[in-house]
Amino acid sequence: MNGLDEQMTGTTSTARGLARRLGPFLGLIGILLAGVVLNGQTFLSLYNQLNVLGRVSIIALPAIGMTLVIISAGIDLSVGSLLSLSTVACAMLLMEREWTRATSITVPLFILFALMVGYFIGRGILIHKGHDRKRADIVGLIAGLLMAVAVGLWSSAQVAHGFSTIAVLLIIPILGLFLGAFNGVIIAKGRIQPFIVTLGMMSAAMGLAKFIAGRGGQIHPIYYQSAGYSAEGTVNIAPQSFDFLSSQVVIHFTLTRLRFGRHIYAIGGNEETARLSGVNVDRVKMMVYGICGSLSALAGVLYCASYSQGKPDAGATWELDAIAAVVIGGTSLMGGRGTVIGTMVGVLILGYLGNILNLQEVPSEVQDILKGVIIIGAVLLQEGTLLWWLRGIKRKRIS
Amino acid sequence: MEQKMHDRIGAIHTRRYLLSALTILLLLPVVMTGCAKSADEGTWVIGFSQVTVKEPWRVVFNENLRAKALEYGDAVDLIVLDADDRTENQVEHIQIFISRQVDAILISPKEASGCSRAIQEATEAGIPVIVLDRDTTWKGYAAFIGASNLVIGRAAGTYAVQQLGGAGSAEGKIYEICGALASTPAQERRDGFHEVVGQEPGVVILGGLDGDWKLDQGKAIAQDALQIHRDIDIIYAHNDPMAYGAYQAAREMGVADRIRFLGIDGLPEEGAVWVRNGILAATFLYSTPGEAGLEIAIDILEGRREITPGERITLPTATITAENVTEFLKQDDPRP
Repeated sequence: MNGLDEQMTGTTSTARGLARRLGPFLGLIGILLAGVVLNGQTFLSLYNQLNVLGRVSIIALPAIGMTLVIISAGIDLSVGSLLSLSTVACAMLLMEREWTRATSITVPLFILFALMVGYFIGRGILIHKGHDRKRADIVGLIAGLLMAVAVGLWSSAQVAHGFSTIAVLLIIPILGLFLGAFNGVIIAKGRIQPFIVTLGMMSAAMGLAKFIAGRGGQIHPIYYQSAGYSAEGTVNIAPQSFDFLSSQVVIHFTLTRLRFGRHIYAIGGNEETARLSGVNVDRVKMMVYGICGSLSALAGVLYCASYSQGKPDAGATWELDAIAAVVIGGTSLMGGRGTVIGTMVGVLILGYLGNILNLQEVPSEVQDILKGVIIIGAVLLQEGTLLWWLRGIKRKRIS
Repeated sequence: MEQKMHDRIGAIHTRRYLLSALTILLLLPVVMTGCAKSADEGTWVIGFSQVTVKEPWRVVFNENLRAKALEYGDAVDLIVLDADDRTENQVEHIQIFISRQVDAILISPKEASGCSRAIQEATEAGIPVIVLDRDTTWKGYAAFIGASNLVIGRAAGTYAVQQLGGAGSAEGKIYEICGALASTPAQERRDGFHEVVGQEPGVVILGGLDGDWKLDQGKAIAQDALQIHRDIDIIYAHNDPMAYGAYQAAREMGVADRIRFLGIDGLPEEGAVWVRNGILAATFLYSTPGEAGLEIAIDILEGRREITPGERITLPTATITAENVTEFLKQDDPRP
């Protein structure tokens, strides 16, 4: 158990472990200090802080999902495409007043989800109360069907006046959940590398986004008179930061306190050992990719709220930004080690870096170079191998 | 155990072969029908290779071109291929067009050099090639048609100077948000603008960061810029979405009313709508060259026009403001 704890928090007694754990925080403090020194009051103002938080809260969600995936020794390249798909579906659900491709794809999945939830809850309660399985199955099925009908009626009632905010906040993450879980099923049952499967999903989801957007991938603007998210009207930064912080807290709790979280670390550490110890590896993987997908989709809804548009390539290359944040946050790409808090720090480092450089009016090309340097530098420092290497050179010189 | 593993691996292999065979079988008819289609008598077959349909402007480009082809009725058979932003696909498209012996080729290439050789081959095979929007290094084509970003940049500059008090007496601060600076359109939209505005000693142009044509990046840049420059009079963005993003930032900060936003492109569902809604002060039309291209191709084929190799035709721009915006909107747009 001690070993597992070490893996989870990244604590080891060595200096390397300490560097790994504290590195991202020191980096963030350094960046914040640089911001205060260079830009002073402008940087510290509430307005600026809320801006940065609002901006990073979108990328933070797929990054949190990506952390789970990477801890389980996987990778998810499809988060950007799932985000794009969600922005298009969300914008269309909010704005269109008729049955569109977006509704044809999202509503059946929503109904299916309700059916599954109803079935498992109904069945679970009966089995818990000591009824036999056959009876529990039937009651579960009836409960599921009832829920499915209710959800079906509710969503078709929404079509006529455009979907409400609550509706898209429910439906869109479910779309992501199914597509993400599909990744997980293929990875777990088909025994194919996550890189390949999610690469396929990256392309397929991008295509699907263009397909449902219509006309080869048009942009769907959201106007503020709509029934939905008051996209152009109010500043949505506060609820966004809330979404971001709450999912961060929930996932952090899951990882550190629940058995499911320990299973993720176990799989990332050594999949075969985890399997032999009785971990249901396939199910955990499905859930991990499903969570990652649904967080990416939720980020798509936030994108719509921030930028009042659904765009089939809104999240292109965001998967790389998410991976960068995860890596800066000290999570190992080899799996088995990492924290969600680290990822949040990584996201903030990248966000503040862009903000400070913009405030300093540093040209874009220089900003890109600095971003690259920070990514590589952060990992080098965390691994502590740089010092070891330099020491080696010194030793050779002496001898 | 080992035997079992072996069997399993064998089974997976067989399944993989079956799958790939199935895929090929499924794809075969698609490919065959693509090749087998041949021209009817009395119909001009025109092949068009579009670099990408990812950008809304390209979507409108294709739509306008298709609408123009429909005007000719049965006389024109237009084949539109999407190169998915890859030069090698465009070269392949031209080779397909040559082997299918189309009557004329329209191409909107990805960049100047990659397609030149294929265009030369097509021209040497006797097929007139009309290059649209972006020029190629080889200038032997039948015609090049495109809007000039330099001209558009100048038009935007002229408008901005006029808004700030007119030539000679203009005063104020302009903040510029650039498109992807590694691309020619962004460079020309910047250079044309600076050329005109640079002659006004009272006007300062700030900024110039790269917003990569994206609304979200335009917004982020404006959020940061508005904090350090509190007295900006005009925000000039190299396309409408970035100008709209800047507007969102200013609105959230409560300063949108005293800033005028200028964009470029004037698409019927983006810039034009934003101008009508009073969000952008003006946008500058970046005309799609498809209709003119098709018209010239048909004129050449029907003998109404002589080919002068390397001929360049520049499409005019238009300044879209609240006064004339209705001309540029879609007539059936139901949106508020």
